[in-house]
Amino acid sequence: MDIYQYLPAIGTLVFGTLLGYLGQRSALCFCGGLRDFSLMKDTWLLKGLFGFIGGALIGSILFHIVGLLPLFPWILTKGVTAIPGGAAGGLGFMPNLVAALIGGFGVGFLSIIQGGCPFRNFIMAGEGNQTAIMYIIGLAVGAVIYHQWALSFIQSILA
Amino acid sequence: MKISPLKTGLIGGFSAILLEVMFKVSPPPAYGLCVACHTRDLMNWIVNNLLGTNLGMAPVSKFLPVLTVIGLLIGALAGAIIHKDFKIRRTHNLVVGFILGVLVLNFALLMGGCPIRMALRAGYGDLFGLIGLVGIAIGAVVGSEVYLKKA
Repeated sequence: MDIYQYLPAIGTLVFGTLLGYLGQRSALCFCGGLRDFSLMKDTWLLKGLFGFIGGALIGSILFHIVGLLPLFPWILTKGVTAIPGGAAGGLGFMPNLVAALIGGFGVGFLSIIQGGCPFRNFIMAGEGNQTAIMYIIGLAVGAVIYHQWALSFIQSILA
Repeated sequence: MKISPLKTGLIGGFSAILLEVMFKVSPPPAYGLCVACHTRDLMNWIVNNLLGTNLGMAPVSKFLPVLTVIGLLIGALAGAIIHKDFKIRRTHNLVVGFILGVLVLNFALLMGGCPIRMALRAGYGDLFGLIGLVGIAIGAVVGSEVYLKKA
């Protein structure tokens, strides 16, 4: 048995639990931060978003220096392309721009209606919120729908 | 005892890079944390193994799925119980919540990640991570002004 194959599952479970606890204690929510800033100019939650980017940046720089993160910074190693994962992956600048803006707008807008981003809803589900539980069930069903039908439809439009 | 969102954000961002470098949560790059993508990986891994389908997921989840979201539920539940925050409640209609979940997952995968992965991609030096965050910000502000203010 190759221990390395288990690392991702074990690592994400451990860090997921840690971040679940911290998320519950801090009510961290990127969309909530944007909402509070927009409505009340309150920066408390918004700092969580900037903190996350800062933490990722610090980690990226450190590990790049010691040679463990060669692809960082992406824009210098891979140019103006998107890190894989989106529907427009492999396509040019404009499809990726459209996918990022429309996808982003959809996530941002709908998260306001739901009362939190996907991360926040997992925390609320852990706190006993039934609406958040239904939401994450919707996320899971949405994943099947996306890969069974939506992705090919989207790519036929973007290409 | 409360923890500030800034601290949680810093720890979260650094953890995401740590997960990629030390725990091999990659490919794709910048995949250490993503609530939408990791939910998809877990769900599609289960469905594929149960039904013999071939629904897409990240390469890193082919052998065993990433378990981030299980951890989130465990951690949040533990925090809620320990600090007496646990309470069965509902904030709005359950059917609406479900539909919003389906839609958000699809929009998230369209752009290649949830808000957390877009922030991670931005920190990784991906221009489209920043653009995605701009889209999220615009959507959140419009939602706040249009939906919340009128409610």
